Parts: sequence; structure tokens; C-alpha cells
Amino acid sequence: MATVIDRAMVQRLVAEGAQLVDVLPSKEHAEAHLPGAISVPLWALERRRAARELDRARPVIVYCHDVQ
Amino acid sequence: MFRYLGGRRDWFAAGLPMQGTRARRLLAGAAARRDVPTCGLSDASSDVRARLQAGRSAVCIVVDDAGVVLGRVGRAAWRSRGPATPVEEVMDVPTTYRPDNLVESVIAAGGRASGGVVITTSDGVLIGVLDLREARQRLAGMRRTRGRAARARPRRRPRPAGSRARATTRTRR
Repeated sequence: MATVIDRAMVQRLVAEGAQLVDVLPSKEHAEAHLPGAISVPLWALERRRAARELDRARPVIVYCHDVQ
Repeated sequence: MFRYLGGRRDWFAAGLPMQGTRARRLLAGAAARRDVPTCGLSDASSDVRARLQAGRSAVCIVVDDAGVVLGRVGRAAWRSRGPATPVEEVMDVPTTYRPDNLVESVIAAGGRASGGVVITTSDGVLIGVLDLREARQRLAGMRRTRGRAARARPRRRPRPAGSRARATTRTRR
């Protein structure tokens, strides 16, 4: 279960080394994303390949367009 | 695992950095002038008028202690009222736009808004004022630059039918 955080917390965690994961489709990620975010579309999130791109030792923050 | 509930809409609307193709387009937050005079609701009208006359901005943005936009007063605000009329009574409440809005969209929506368009975060905190005339000029300049770059790029000619066969023949010689 993911912990819900706000913008200020995102900034704090990213400054401490957290990884940002954009779960929007690749096309939308290419158009606009948060600095340094990697693209792992929602449909690919469960795949092992996606997990390999992430560092297990660092916190992971997922986001999409908005609260939906 | 954390989930940023506000998502990118919340991030960009706060005027925070963006990466991607949209970041290369002219965004309202980047084009807005930040050196806009501001005043509070309780400021003396004479002080606000002096601020307007001293600056090159046609408007003074009324903000609260946290920088949240409450209204806007222009140079002509006191023209039909007494010079001592409080700010609250002469200000208007402008439509605001977010910093990640494309300038062309703001222009299309803002029309001929005099004194510029107010850009705020999604929390209502003032970022700046977008002068529509300046914004149109910047957009036109960007289009001219893009047009020149496109013309300077060498064009690929479509290969005529049968050209591959001729090339093969030459190689054999």
C-alpha cells in the first residue's frame, strides 16, 4: 500500500534521493514530466523489467496526471 | 512506495520545473513578468497610485500576506471614484491562469485583456503578469526562428522509381 504524499513531501524526498516514476503512457511522459522521472506506464508496472530499472534501496514515488 | 496524489498537474500548476517537449514551448509562467507591483487591501490608495506611477506596469496586484491574489487595480481605477476610495472598492477580480498553460492558449482565452493576464499557482499565489502584447511578439519571434530553421534544413528528395537498380548497375562497373 502506497503512502499518499503532497508536493512538498515529493520535493523533500527527491532531494534525499527518491526515484520518481511516471505511470502515464509513454507519449504523455515524452510531452511533459517531472524532472528526472522515469517512464513506467501503468500497464508495465507489474513487469519484472520495469522493476529492474528501479533501485530497491531508494524510495519510489509514483505519480500520474492528477488524483484520478 | 509513495504516491504523489496531486500528480503532474499539481506540480506544473505550482510553477515547478518541467521536462519534455512541452517545456520547449512558451509557457505562461516563463513568459510572465515577475516584477509586478503588489499591494494589500489595507494599503493607502495614495501609496498604491504612487506605486503604479513609479513602475512600468499598468496594474498593481492586490495580495494577502501569503501572496494569494485577491484582486487587481489599474491606473484608471480611481478615475470615477474619489482618490481616497479604499483599494477593496476599486479593484476588480481577474481570471487567473496557471504557469503551465501555453501562452497561445492564454492569448486565445484572454483576448484583449488590458493590463495583462494574472498568472498564479493552483493555490492562488501570484507568479506574475503576462503582457498579452509582449507575449504575441515573443510567439511571433519564435515562429519566425522556427521557420528559418526549417528552411535551412536540407530537404530529402524522394528517390525516383528505379533509382536503386541504376545504383546497382554503377557498382558493378
